[in-house]
Amino acid sequence: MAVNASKTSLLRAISKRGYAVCPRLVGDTSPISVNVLDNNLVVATACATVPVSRVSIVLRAGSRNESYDTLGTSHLLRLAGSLSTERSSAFAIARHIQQIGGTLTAWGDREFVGYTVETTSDNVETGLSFLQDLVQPAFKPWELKDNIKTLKNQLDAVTTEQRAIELVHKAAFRSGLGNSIYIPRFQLGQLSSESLLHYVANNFSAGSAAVVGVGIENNTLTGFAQNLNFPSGGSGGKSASSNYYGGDARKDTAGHRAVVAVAGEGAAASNQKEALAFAILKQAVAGKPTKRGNLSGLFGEAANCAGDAPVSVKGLNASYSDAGIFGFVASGDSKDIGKAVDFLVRALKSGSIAEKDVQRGKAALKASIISKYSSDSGLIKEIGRQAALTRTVLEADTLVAAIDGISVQQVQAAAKKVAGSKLSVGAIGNLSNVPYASDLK
Amino acid sequence: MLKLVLWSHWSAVIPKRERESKAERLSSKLQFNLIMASYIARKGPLVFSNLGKWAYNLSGFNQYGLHRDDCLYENEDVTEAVRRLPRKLYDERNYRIMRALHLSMTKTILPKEQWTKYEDDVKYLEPYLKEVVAEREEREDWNKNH
Repeated sequence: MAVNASKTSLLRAISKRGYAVCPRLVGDTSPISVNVLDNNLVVATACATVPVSRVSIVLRAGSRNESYDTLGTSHLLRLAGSLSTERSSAFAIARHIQQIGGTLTAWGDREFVGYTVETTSDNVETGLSFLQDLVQPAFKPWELKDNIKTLKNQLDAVTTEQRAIELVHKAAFRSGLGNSIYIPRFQLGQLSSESLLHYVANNFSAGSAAVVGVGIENNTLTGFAQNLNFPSGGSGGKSASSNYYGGDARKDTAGHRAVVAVAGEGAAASNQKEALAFAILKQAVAGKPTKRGNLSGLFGEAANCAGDAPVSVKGLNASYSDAGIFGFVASGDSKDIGKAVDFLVRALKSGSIAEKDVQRGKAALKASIISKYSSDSGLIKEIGRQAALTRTVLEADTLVAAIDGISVQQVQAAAKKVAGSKLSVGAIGNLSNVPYASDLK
Repeated sequence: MLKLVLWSHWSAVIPKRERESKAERLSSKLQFNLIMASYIARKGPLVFSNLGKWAYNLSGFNQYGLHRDDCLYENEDVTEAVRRLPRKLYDERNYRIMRALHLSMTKTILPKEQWTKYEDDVKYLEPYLKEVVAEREEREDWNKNH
């Protein structure tokens, strides 16, 4: 007979607590505790819904820190896991984490490179002991050579839509934030062990990094963070400031489809009010479509006005620490895309937004933020980015209150800002009908 | 000397260094040196002895201009270690082996001043081989216990 004792709710709660540090209800947002260590490293933790611990190290070593000669370095940092570190071999990292049923993921964007380890709560020590090795990569030359095929495979898997977004960044910022998060093909096998270690030594520093955890106690994680051995003792290399330029970045490829990303100047994350206004604006003009339906809002209407041809449109809003872009990505047949882009640009340049749309945008943004905060995997990413970028983490309630505090005028000002800015066009595919930035009025 | 060889190979692409202080540059160089230091080869015998010298000269490979590590039987470990050699060391090894094959074919040996000396024999493969063996043992160990 099965043991009935474990079915009574009180005992179950106790046994569950044995695994999880601090379980919370599914869908509930969790209180977040943040503390800053002596070396300026930020440690943030939150409770988990299930007895799984997730811990991330987030380093400000994203592609914006690359110079022209070291393009693609941040992509190589995301290969970690198949590269040995100073203390442990790639084999050891992979097998030990697999053995406990954990996963190790590396992720990155223009600002950050992050490593996340996910294990059941009773095995968190094993996960952490290999996670800490990742901040001291070894970059053995033969391993770099052996991984070229992995990189090629990853490059082949990049969607054209993502390529268009990379191109629009290039057009908008040229260098710095304009650097692609993917390694350019001409750099495959060209990045030497020394230049990679040099990049790591400049950018892996405690003063600009964050260690965040979901489902782990703050004390435990603080102890772990204190013993981390960062290659750079300083506050980290200062990111190159990113001026907005605008213009074209086009890549012609075979086929009959085209993907076009058009953007104007958006908000920097450092200006929280403006960043939120732009986030609301994105939800208002390009809210999530109903399943297989059309995009709601201004962009959706504009795409519909352009004709019956199937053109899919998505909003694009990216806020980095000191700059941002706002616009859309449209993809469709090359003979239809020209007209659709014209109509969408007219919508983008109109610079007006109705009050009811702003209200809808606010509701949608609040929903998306709360849903991010209420799942463990969403929460770890969200607090990781916030902690590394702003050195603190906002609770869901604070963020929702801040969204409520944004006035209609502020959103309208955001719409005017992007309407008045020079446009950037990133396009890939059959570009016969894709307009140039200078033609977009 | 060998340290220089290693350096010139692995520092082929040196990034532009504009946004950094001298101290940062030093620390990154130091770190690179620390990692690379473990690959610097041992020169000469571990313990010098006249008996060792006699045996070394008796073996005869030095008369072909070979080093000890050129004569290792190429099992899986050695093949992998050779693959990991920096380009310059790899080319030098191949040159010595080809020269030795040629000398053997023509039934001659090098003039005496070109023989490899007991004190000058560079164990260039040793650090790489040690690492390869350690990695294999780690794998075997894991497979035994899991």
